[in-house]
Amino acid sequence: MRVLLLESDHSFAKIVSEALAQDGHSIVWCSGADTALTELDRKNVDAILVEIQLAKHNGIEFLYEIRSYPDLAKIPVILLTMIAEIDLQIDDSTKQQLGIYRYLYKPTTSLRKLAAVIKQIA
Amino acid sequence: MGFKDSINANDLSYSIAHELRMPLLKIARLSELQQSSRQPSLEAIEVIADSVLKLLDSYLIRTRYTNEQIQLELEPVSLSAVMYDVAQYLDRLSRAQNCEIRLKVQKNSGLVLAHHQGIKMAFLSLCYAFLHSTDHTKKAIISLEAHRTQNKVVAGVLCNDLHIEKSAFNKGQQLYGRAYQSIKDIPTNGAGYFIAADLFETMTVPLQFIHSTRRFGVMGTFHSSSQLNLL
Repeated sequence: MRVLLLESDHSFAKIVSEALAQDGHSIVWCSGADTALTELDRKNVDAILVEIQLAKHNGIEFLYEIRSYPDLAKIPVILLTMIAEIDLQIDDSTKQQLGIYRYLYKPTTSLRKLAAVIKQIA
Repeated sequence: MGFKDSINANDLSYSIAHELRMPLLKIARLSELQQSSRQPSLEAIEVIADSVLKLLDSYLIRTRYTNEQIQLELEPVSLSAVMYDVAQYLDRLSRAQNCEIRLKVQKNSGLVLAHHQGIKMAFLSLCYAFLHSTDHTKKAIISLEAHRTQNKVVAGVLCNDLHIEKSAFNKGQQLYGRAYQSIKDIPTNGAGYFIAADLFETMTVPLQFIHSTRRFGVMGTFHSSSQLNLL
């Protein structure tokens, strides 16, 4: 699978990329929403991993943006974020609207668990 | 309102706690990755753990000085030596974050009146905050700079890959830890900035936000004199 990883932290992105590469996935890493949109324009991806806390545009703004494009609207999205679910303030209908397949809280998500969730999508 | 007045100790602890989650998370995941891939990631773990320890150290020093209202004794300090130490210390962490640390210290910047440990911790905290604030759209260059203007020396940290202004900083103080979207232009919780601002203020060196040729940064003005440079 080709996975777009939207993550502002360089070394954490590297860790996730290495882990997913071990499972045979190819990772397209972007540190900001703008570059992620450009990459989505250029490459087909099978899933998107998104951190909400980003500089400039946040992850939710990014999701609203991509959902407005019909060709990107159906790509499953996994939130992989430092924000606890209680602080997220996104109801189920919004999650559905934004195509959020799973919410994963970074501090409690092992690489094994992340790989398993990606595998479910495949 | 000065920086010190507006920084609440509980908020800062909360911000520090937030700040520590990411490096600890990386340590945990790197350990997990190493088990599965047998790749030598121990060095990366060491670099991250070291940076966390330094942030905690700066916080502890800042808290001690603030709680006990200790006046930092100012002494002649060589800025170039301090900045060199800071750059050396952060070299490996900056490479891990795809950043470059540069030194740009004017030869005649000489000695300034400061507290040696305080100023070192303040610069470390600032650089640490900058390293975690860049958005990696391009290779970030973090520059430790000092230059003399008559009897004063202006010194601080500048970066080409972030935009920080006083308004963003103030907004950060109000929001940090509470907003799920971190404030624009300070993607971290900003603990490093706040610690540095406190330490600078304890040395009666207010921080100023600088915008210079596509670079943004934070700098302070130190007292210097030709007599001091005779030491």
